[in-house]
Amino acid sequence: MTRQRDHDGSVWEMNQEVLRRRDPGLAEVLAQVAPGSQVEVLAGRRGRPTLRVRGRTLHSLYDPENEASLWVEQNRKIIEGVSQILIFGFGLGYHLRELVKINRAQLLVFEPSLEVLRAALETLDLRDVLDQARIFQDVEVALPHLKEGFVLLEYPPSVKVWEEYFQKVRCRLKALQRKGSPLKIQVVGPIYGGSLPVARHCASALRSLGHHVDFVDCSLFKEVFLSIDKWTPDVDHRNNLKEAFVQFASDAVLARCVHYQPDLVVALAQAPLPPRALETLRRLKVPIAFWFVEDFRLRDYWKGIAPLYDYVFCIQREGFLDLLRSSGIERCHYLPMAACPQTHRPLALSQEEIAEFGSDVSFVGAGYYNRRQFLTGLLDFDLKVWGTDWDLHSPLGRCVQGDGTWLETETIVKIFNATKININLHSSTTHEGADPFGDFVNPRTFEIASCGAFQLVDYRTEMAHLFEIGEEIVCFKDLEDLRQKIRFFLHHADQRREMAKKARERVLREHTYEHRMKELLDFLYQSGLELPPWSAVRENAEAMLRKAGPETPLGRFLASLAETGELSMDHIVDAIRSKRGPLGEVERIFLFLHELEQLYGRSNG
Amino acid sequence: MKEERERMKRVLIVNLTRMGDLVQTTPVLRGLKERHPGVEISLLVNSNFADICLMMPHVDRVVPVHISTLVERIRRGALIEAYREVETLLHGLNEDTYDLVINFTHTVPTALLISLIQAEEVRGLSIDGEGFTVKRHPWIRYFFNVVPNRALNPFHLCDIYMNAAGIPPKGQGLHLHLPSEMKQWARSFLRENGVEFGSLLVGLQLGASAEDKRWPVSCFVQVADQLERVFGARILLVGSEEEEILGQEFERSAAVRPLNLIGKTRLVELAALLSCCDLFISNDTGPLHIATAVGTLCVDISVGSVRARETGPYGDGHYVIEAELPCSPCRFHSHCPRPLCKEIISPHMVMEVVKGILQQRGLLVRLPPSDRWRHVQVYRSFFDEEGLIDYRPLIPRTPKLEEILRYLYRSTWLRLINGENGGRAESDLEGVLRKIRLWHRTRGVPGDVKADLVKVRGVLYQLRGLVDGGLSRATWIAKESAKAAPNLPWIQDLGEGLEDVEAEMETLALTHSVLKPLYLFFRYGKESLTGEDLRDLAEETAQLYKEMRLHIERLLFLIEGVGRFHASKRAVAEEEGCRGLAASISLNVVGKEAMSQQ
Repeated sequence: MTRQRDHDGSVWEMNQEVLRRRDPGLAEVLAQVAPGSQVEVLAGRRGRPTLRVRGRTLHSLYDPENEASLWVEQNRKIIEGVSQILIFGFGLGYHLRELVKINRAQLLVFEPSLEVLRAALETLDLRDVLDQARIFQDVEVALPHLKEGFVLLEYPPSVKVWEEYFQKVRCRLKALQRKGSPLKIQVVGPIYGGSLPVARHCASALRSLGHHVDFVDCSLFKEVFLSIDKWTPDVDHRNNLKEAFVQFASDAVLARCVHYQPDLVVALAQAPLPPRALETLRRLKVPIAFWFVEDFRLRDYWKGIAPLYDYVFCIQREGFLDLLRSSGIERCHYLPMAACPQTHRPLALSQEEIAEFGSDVSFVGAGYYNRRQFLTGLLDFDLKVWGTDWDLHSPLGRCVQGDGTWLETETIVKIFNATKININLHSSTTHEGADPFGDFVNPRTFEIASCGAFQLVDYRTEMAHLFEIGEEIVCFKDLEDLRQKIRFFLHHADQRREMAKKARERVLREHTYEHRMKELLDFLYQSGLELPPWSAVRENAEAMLRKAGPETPLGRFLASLAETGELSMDHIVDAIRSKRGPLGEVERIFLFLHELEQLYGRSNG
Repeated sequence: MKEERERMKRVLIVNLTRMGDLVQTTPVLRGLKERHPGVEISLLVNSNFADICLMMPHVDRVVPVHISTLVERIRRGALIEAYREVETLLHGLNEDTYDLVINFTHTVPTALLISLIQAEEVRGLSIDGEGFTVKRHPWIRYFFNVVPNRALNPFHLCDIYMNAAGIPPKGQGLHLHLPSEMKQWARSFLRENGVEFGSLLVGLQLGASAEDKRWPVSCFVQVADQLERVFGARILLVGSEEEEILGQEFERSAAVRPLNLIGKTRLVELAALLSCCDLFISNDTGPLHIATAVGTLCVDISVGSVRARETGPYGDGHYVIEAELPCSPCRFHSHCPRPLCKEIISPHMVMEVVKGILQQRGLLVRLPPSDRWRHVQVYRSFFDEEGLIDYRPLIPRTPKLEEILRYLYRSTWLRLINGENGGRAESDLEGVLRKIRLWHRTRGVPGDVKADLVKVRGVLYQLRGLVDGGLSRATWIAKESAKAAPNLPWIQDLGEGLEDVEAEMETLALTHSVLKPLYLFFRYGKESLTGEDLRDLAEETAQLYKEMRLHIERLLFLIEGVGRFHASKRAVAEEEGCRGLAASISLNVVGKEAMSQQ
């Protein structure tokens, strides 16, 4: 192995001095690196050394410095005015030396091989580079250092040698680069059930966050699906029909998906996506996320489908997350329920409405076993019970309003607002009252709070993490506890109001569906979101402008349209069509491209 | 018509459609080279079909547009890349201004592209300053007239193109140049595959670019089996990759063992092989035009939405077997659940025609009228005195109103658009009458058709009345707006009156199909007015009215002549002798029972 040095004296020492100052950890690591057989420093034709790794030379044998200048020249435009440049490949550092001569932006260099780094620091004077750069092997370590608007430059010879490594880093970075730019998201809800409104709220929350959302509303199938039970008394046949129906519904969802071509699919619990459909989505390489908003112990169908999702979100932590991880589901995350403040909000009600919907104490919801037993213990209060599945012939029956019909959301909001004390008892089919080990917090808790209404809710282990108990919310543990608190709060209206106000503030601050969807997406990006192949490269306007060249007619045209931050073809065409006056060349070219795609894209020429 | 430039130096022809359409541009290219010696012709084509251009002589430069790549980029969202590609394309095209750009692609994207090319003159569909499509050049306006009025269109696409390019058709058909080494290759290839030079080789094109144009494979099979049995013919199957499945179907049911090259040939190879065929039986699709262009005798089976007079083999001495049901032709790209047209042309009929051709060395001139051939007609192509292609029916039948109107329109449009309105009316009438005599073997027009012609005269009079009203108003507007202080309320009044006239014209035309071509031609003209101010626009409008009036006059003259027509027996007999037909293709028929009378 021959070593060529820039000049006499220890290049290595000089470089190390700077490196120790800038990144002592790396300096120490490199000091320990023993020369390996993979990496070879070669003397070049004109005395300029190059590096050979796995049979490939990383710099020109003839004139590495000229080659480096060319590389910089090629990339000059892209990096103008950028605050941070990421570079794939350190090599011997020729290209980095040239780069720092013309650009003062911070450099983050990804180099997998410590041997290469050692060889570089031993060979060239890289003090200027080391002053401006940070070097990383592990992309996760580098992530916190990334700034928005970074530009990625690749040094092709290095990338060719370590293709797999750089591909992984590239994907990670791509996902992050896209963060902030709108995604195309398809939200798939159930045919019916509790997670249907949740699905709707997720869709609108994602829209508010600036994404393009297609809400696949499977509730269109509800009537038919529910009618199956009336079709025949034969249970086996009913089940067969239901299964066939779910297959149909899942094919319908897939048809929508293939047409919409989303970047991401978010499915709610009980969405009609059986394993076969999930496998199809896998094959299409669409990332799929699952928000399982049910009790995992009670509804265990998750076992069959959760592993088929890329990301799983749940409303229970203890016991479930570990279970998921041990089933091989790495990317799982706790994501509690929430409220939609546009829907669940304080209302000013008329006297008639208060009379109709209001009472001292009320419960809104389905008549699960524990509620039927428990609420009977409140018969001596001015109690109204709302919702479905109540036994109208029981003593509680006389409190059930409207013969137990299904209620519109808006009606429920009125009831919450009109009631002095809303009782919120988490459902159970096995307990007589509250579940002493209940963990997750139901949507109702957030919804009542979001309305600025007062509630008494049973203790849940997750409650304290979500609301300040005693300040923002009051919990009860059994019937006696509840009765005491009801009596107290009926006589302390201002305390009710105070608590309800604080609860609502907490919801607005932390517990809206927008918060949840943002957290969901952040988790996806952190875990490395890989967009499907059909995903258009929806560059944000800045990147497009850069590519176009701001001083070109194209660049100027795009700049005039770029306020919204996204420049899609539809956007551009709409803008052109809405303008008056003669069409310029840039506009004609875009119209040509648009019409061409419409004509040939459909009929395949 | 506008003055044509004396000497064109640079011409760009734009044809981004299919391969067959490109081949049909060859007469235009040749014509341009003859009319403008030294002209440089560039051809803007879809890159998928660029290789056919290698065989097109007279092309100096081929500029491919990578449509599939562009579309893929756009769908991927790589807009800047797509934009730059188009920019580069335009840059390359616009190095110098063209004297003439002719757009033969009648799509909006192409029109947009054309509008970005620097040219002294543009013909074809283009985009004006405000972004509206305009149809530049009367023959292009005529082209757009065809589809709405198919029954009354007498012209072939190639002749329309020729006229649009300002080239008087000269009776020269499609032309592709086959390098001699390709011919040699084809012969040795065929020999290697058991087709000796001198044996009867019949090519079959089973596929078509649209399902409605495709004669069933089973019918081709029956024809092929008979050809083998009766003539000892060898069968060659050709087609594109997508048509391989048709070849498989053929081989499964045919007794004959064909040389199946479907999906296995590049375009040059296909052309070379077709040139070795003695006969090519085909649907109306790309290979038909290639075969025509390399001089192979073709039998075109015309069903569905096809009309051979529009898109049939453009060359001398080819044959067309066409279905003529009440529903023929149907809409383009229709999905007919009951394609009777395909049933009505039986394999037996095709065999009869083919036998006639082979036994008479390529010159089949008549088929006896027979009930079996009801709803089917057989045509033979030839170039008429004006150099335009025409298709002579081989089964004489009484003329229908529609046919007569077509003969009339054939002369009137030519005279009108090409500006020869002076003389020739008498000789045109003579030509029409001769056709009626010769082609329909009739001494006069049947009574019911005569009565219909009277009605047609009636509606033409009505239209003429409206046209006169429009013309006078337009003329007044032009005169008044030329004044220093025009009477604006009066002009407005006239304008409204003009609108009313045109509304009436439209209603009349839409309810009387014979008038539709006249009206639509006028309307396209109005949509493409180039005048800058009111006076110019009014004058151009007046001109359009004048043209329509002239056209109506000419039609009336001809109709009257036809109505009076009654030929003597002798006159009919005299014209039996195949006058005007040229035997340009002869066959050397060698085979099993070559001249047998089966």
